[in-house]
Amino acid sequence: MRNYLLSALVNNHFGVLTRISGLFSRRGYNIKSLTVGETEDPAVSRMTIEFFGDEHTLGQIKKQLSKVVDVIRVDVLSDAVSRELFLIKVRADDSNRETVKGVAEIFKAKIVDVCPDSMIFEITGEENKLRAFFDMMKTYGVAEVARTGVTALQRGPHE
Amino acid sequence: MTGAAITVKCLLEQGVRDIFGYPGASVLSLFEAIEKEPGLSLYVNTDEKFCAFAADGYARASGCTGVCIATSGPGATNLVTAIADAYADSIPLVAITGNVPLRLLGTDAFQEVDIAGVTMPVTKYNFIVKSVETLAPTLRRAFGIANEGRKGPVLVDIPCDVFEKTARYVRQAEKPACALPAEPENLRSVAGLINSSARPAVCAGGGVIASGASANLRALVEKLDCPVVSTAMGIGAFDTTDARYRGLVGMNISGDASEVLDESDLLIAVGVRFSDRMLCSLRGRDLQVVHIDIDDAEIDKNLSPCGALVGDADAVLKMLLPLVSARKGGAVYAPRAPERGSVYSLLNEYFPEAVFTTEVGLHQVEACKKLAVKRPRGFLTSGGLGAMGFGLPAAVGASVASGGKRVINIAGDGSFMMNMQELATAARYGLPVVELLMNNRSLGMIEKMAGGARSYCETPEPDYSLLARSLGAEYFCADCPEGLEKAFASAAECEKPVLIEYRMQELI
Repeated sequence: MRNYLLSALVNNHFGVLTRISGLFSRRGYNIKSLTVGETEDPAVSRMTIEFFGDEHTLGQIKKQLSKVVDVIRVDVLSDAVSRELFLIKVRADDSNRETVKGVAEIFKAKIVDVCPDSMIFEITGEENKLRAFFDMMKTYGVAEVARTGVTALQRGPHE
Repeated sequence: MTGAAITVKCLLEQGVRDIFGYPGASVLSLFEAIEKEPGLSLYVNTDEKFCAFAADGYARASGCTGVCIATSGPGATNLVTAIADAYADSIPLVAITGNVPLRLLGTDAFQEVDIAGVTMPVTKYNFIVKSVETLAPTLRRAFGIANEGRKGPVLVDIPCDVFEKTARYVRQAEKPACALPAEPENLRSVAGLINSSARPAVCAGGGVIASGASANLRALVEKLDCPVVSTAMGIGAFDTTDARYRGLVGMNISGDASEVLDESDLLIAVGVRFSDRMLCSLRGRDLQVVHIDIDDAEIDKNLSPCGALVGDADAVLKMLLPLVSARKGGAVYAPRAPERGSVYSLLNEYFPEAVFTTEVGLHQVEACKKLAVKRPRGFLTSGGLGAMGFGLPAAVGASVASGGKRVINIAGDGSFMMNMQELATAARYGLPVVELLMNNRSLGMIEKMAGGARSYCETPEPDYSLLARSLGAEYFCADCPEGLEKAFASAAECEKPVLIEYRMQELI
């Protein structure tokens, strides 16, 4: 069991996300995250699917995805640049604002909103870094989190 | 040209001649256009569900795409069971539904249902046509998807005002011939596995019939001089009266087929998906499997084969044959003697040319095991979904596909209660469908599962004679094999639909 990243190019139609998320729920594939966005070609979207499980299920997901009429191609990313963005609202007031800010600087998190008793950080990176930052922020009190899910591209020349 | 007229033109382009439909407000203009077109015959069943089952039976019997039409809302939802049936058994079907006008879509209007949403898990694909300009390309694509690769149902939902709007129609140019299929990976290694096996056996599935691979399957079996078993969907892929045919595998595996699996070291499964019910007959056996299927997603899904070839069964067998060494298997099989005087041997005797359909239940299992089926598309049964109510409308569809030939539906009384009104459809179109009602006054299969008689397994006992005649069918009755022979002889002379009630003493 390990983490896998799949990247699927799909037709940018209405209903495609429903078809694919429906496929996952129907067949009981437990996915960690699914992100979708337009590519360099507006007729095509890229879906990045993060999946934790075994190789057999991974193979099944890849085959079932490839069967969906709107799916153009599916790749399991072996060496990928992957990123996720977190927005984290942390409880911080005059008493600890500077401390929280200091920690955030170590992680290169950006302050995107401040109010008297909280602030919002924006942080981008791979899962381990985000998790470490999140755990640090929890010690100060995290009020809310919004995550984008992982998006990724295979390294190296374009095939 | 109006959208309705474009739809008709596109159906003709695809070679459609027969349509099963039920009218309603949102498809009225389409029905008007179909009625005016002499190249299309319209059959109106008694419920949308039966339109779809008839189209399903039509496709199973002919290999052509079945077409059914229903109105929006309840008309469309009535199709769902039969669409799921076609999906489970990979039958090419195009279902056209009307819907509320474009401006009312998504407003919970009268008779509005998101049928594309409802049918997403039971279709290969579905479309909502949002402009008359996209109508023709969408319909062409629907027929393409229904027939490409592993076949299956496609639904096209058309808001009713799209039928009224006009667009330019240009007849589609002839499609270029398909490129020759590429040699599947592993072809040589799989041939090696077969050549090094000691006692191979072949299992034929529905994919053999879908691909028209019976001749090459026979060539493989003769070259290997080996026994053949089949799944329920594969019945007829190999002549069941041939001595090499050893019967049905699956939950209701026959004794002979069981012996084949015991004695073989390699099972060459062609056009099979290894459903849960089929797998139970392989469990606990020391048997390697070579899996040949058109759908890559079926390989390694429920069973890990020692070798696999992905591709159309006929094309793959053609490429595999020259690589397989001929051998003398040595085993001599006695042809499986039909039980003389049994219902099924009598059926074969009195209706040697007929196509058979079944409902779902004990009679279906018996028919799968005992009926002689010499050719593909000669035996039609609801395999994957097991949908009671399939048989009689499927028989109507199969009879239409054959140009009005006799089709025999083998039914239990439970299933007949679900679709008896289709006798009226057969009568209306003069189709000589014979409904053989195996009346054990029980939902026999469920009674067996429950372990004895239960009140919930009891079935109504109408006067079947009155029922048949009121629906326009002849009625014959029998309570012993001799009586059944008489009934079959009379039915074989009848041009009308016939209901034969066989009053059984036992469950089976």
